[in-house]
Amino acid sequence: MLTLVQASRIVRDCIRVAVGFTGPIEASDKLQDVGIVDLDAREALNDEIVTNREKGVQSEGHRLGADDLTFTIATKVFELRDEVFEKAVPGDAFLNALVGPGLFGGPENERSSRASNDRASATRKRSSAKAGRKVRSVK
Amino acid sequence: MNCYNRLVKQLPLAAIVLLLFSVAGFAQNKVSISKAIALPTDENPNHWQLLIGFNAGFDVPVSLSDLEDPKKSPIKNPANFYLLDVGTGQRLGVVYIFFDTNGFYAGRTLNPSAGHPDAVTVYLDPSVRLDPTHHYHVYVLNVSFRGKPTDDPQPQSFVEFPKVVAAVPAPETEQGDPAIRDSLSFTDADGREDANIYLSGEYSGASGTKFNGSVDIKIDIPFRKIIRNRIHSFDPFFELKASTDPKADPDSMSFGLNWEWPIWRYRGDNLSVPIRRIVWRNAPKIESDKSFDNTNFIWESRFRFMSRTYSGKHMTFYFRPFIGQELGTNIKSPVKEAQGKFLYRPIAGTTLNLIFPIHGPGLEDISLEGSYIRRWPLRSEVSFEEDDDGNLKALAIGKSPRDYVTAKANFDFTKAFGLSVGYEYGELPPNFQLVDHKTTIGLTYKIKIDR
Repeated sequence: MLTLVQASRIVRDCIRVAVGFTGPIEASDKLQDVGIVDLDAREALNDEIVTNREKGVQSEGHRLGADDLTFTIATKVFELRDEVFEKAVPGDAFLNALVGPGLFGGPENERSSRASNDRASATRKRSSAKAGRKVRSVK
Repeated sequence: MNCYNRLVKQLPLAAIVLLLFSVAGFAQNKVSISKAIALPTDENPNHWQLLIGFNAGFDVPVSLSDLEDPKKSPIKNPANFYLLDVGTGQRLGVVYIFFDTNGFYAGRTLNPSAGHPDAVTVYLDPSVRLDPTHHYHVYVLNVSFRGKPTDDPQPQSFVEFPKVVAAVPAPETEQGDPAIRDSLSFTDADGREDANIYLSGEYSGASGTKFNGSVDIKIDIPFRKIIRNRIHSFDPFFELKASTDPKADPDSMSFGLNWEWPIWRYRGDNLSVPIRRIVWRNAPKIESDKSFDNTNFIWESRFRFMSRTYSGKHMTFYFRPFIGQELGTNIKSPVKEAQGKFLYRPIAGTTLNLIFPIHGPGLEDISLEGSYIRRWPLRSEVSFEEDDDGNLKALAIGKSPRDYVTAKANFDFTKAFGLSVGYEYGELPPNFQLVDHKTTIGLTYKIKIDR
């Protein structure tokens, strides 16, 4: 499962890359106030969230369907964050990383899922680093 | 008289009290927790965390070095988070609060053009074990949002458990399954291009002339599919532009399928790149007059360039230029000369939009929409006209370029309903009948499928 912190980062990054918005993005802003002004911009934002491997849900080892997000240009930023959080599901690679390879997209799909496994491994490293930071600060 | 004097003396005091109440009313800073989810951490199933999302951004210190100081950074202070077990009344311990500082700080200083973070992950004391059958309530106190302390009720929420943690059997349909969307709902759209359903009716008239009506209808229902990590959008559509005024009748109807996907996406970090993506639209369609007397089959192919959105405090501007071609054949015409004729037209044009947000009572915004398209018929096309006896005769349209331009000022009273003043000039296929400087005023209703 994504965290809300990750979902918030994904939405902000994807708004910026979709329409080049340079101003501040606040949770209470409507999407049309942060550059998502028409159907083209809405489709671009949807595309970035769903398919961008560096900034979208795939960057956290998750996936969304093309029609999963129902936001409009009148949706608020925090509402889209919550929708991404609720609807993103772990990708095969993410599940394999948790329970071991082979159960989700196993050996027969190994070639196609190799790239996403790499991403999951990067996600694991990030999580470990985060946990390390957390433990240090708890101490 | 005494009573009158007392009233006059108390009046300024009453006015000041009223003013203070008004100021307090305007200064309200109500913030809520839109989501609070409890789940175990990835690393340890017995170590619990709360994922909390606010509906506004919380304040953080200007200097990154002050971030871990609970006095300068109240959001990082575990004492400001109250997690209560509703059944027992017990307060549960919080040990650490995490939020992502990336993107909010430029170097070691807060970046004012980044906005504020709006979500945190709260790590509970490792000795705390949450029970999904219990009810928990979380409060966040002493944290300022939007530069101000929050008003009562303070940010708070019941804590939810994800279904897997709560051991509730998974529903038959999952997120993303089209089966869960068994009904359509609608929301307002921002313009003709943004609308899935757009109905615009206009009525015009002048002294000594008959009143004339005109319609502009667009129905466009999209569905999407991911192919090679790009979202392909398929939109069956229907469009009609017609008028009862013979001198101002575009008489143009089209229906078919728009299929488009991004062939190029800018994914670097430079936000000022003016073109953010190029979308390739292919549209097999039938274009006809409204009575189907003259009908063409056309394959339209367009490269659409999506600009960045230029946003200022009082104005937003964006444009969508395109180039492409229309290729096809005539499949029905009342004149023999046109039947089966091959058609080929390169096209180019753009749309421009300027929006002035007002957000006042009774007026949501004012927007100016302009569109221009030029067609170059490379093959001579044939239309028809009636002679004085009512017989149809072939009318050679020739190869000269054909322009079509529209401009519209919209006054949106609400997001869905407004008044529009428009201007239209030019020729549209298949008849290329000239719309000669037509001006219109009308009411517009536009909605969009919310799914």
